Amino acid sequence: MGEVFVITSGKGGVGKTTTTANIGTSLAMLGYRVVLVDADIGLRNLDVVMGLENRIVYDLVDVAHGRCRLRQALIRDRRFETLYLLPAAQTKDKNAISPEQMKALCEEIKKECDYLLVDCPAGIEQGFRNAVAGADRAIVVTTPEVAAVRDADRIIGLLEASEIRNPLLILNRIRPKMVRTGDMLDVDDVIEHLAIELLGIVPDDESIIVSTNRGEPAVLNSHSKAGEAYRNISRRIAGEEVPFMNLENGGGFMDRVRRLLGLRTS
Amino acid sequence: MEQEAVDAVSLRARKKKRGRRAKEQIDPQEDTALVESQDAKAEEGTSITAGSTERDEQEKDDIPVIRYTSVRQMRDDIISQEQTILVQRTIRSGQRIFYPGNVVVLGDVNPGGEVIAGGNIIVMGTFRGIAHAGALGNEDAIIAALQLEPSQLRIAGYITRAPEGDYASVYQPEIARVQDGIVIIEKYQPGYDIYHRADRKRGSING
Repeated sequence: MGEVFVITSGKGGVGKTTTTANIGTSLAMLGYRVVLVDADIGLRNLDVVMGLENRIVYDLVDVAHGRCRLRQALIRDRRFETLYLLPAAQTKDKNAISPEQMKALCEEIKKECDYLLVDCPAGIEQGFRNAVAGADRAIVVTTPEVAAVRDADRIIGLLEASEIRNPLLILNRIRPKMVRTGDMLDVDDVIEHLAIELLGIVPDDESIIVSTNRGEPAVLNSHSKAGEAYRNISRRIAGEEVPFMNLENGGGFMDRVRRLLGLRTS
Repeated sequence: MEQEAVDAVSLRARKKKRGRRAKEQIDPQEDTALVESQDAKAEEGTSITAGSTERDEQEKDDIPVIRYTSVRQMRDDIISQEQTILVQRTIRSGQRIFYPGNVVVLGDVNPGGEVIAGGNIIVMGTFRGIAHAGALGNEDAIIAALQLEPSQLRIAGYITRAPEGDYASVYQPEIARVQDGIVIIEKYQPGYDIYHRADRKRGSING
């Protein structure tokens, strides 16, 4: 029996889909059976980010309405045998399925996998309600921007109302340099504000853009800092204790000397 | 003399309760039990404090005990005898709590969160949302927080909002109240408030 995670944020464009694809891929790398469900009906992206777009025959709505069997709609990943994607429909909208149907679907899938990740659409309407209906736990993705944090706060409240306790937080797109100069909210600010458990910090990384465009999740790239962060996050989900990544690059030579001499405390 | 005062107090308590019952559906059993116990104490004719044996024991030590009871009483240091709830949670954006009495929040109130109380509001945390104290018309209601950075404060019919632009946030407990027709926010000074109110409200009872 697997666990269902919904990956949500409220605000759009903070990296829900990228997060889903990367966590899913790296959990599969660790050997778990993973199913990714794209709940963003009408604006599907997860298939593109996973590079599986041209393999879609049936989708989530077809399964929910009984037009095909679940097995027919699940697409196996090109790279990992234990990774599957259930794509969203592109020609329908969020009202095409109901929370009850989604719940039944999640129950059915989680019997045969270790982790089921649901990529939630932006917003708090029907699409959100569908996505969280079958979830056991939630991962809230936010970026260090006031608007994104505000929306995350609202989402956490709504998750509470849907009886999903203790959501986990991923802080995406941190720029250590801007945090250092005080131009960006830092990790502590956001955590203090949202008061939920931190699952991981992902640095802003240009390689993410390249990898999403290519359909190859960044976790496959061993040089990507963001990929490393997502691999750590997956290990934490799997129950390992992994220390948070040090986002500082160690500074220049003089910084290191100062730190050695105890002149700098950071 | 004391007997009379006590009777008057318990009568007022009863009247007020009866009035409220219609609105709030207070558990009738609990309510009658309370009134009965008040009557019993009033008959003793000595004082409105409970458990005389316990009291004797304590006063042997010569330590003066300031006793407050659940009965409404006339005292300058009691600023509210409304019912109070303690809420332990973070009030997040889009969440609103309402209570006809006083509200104490053990947690933060985030931007977009609302706390509406018929009485006073105390937040043991950072207040960044909207507060409405004295929402049923009590202009003496206060709003206090360990860190007060509200987007809007309302006390009875008075509304204020945070000043525009950046301002240095103060890391100190603050208290907001209505004074001379405007909402003022000042540093919370322990105990100071009693004298403040006592001067203003001498003669009238119960805020």
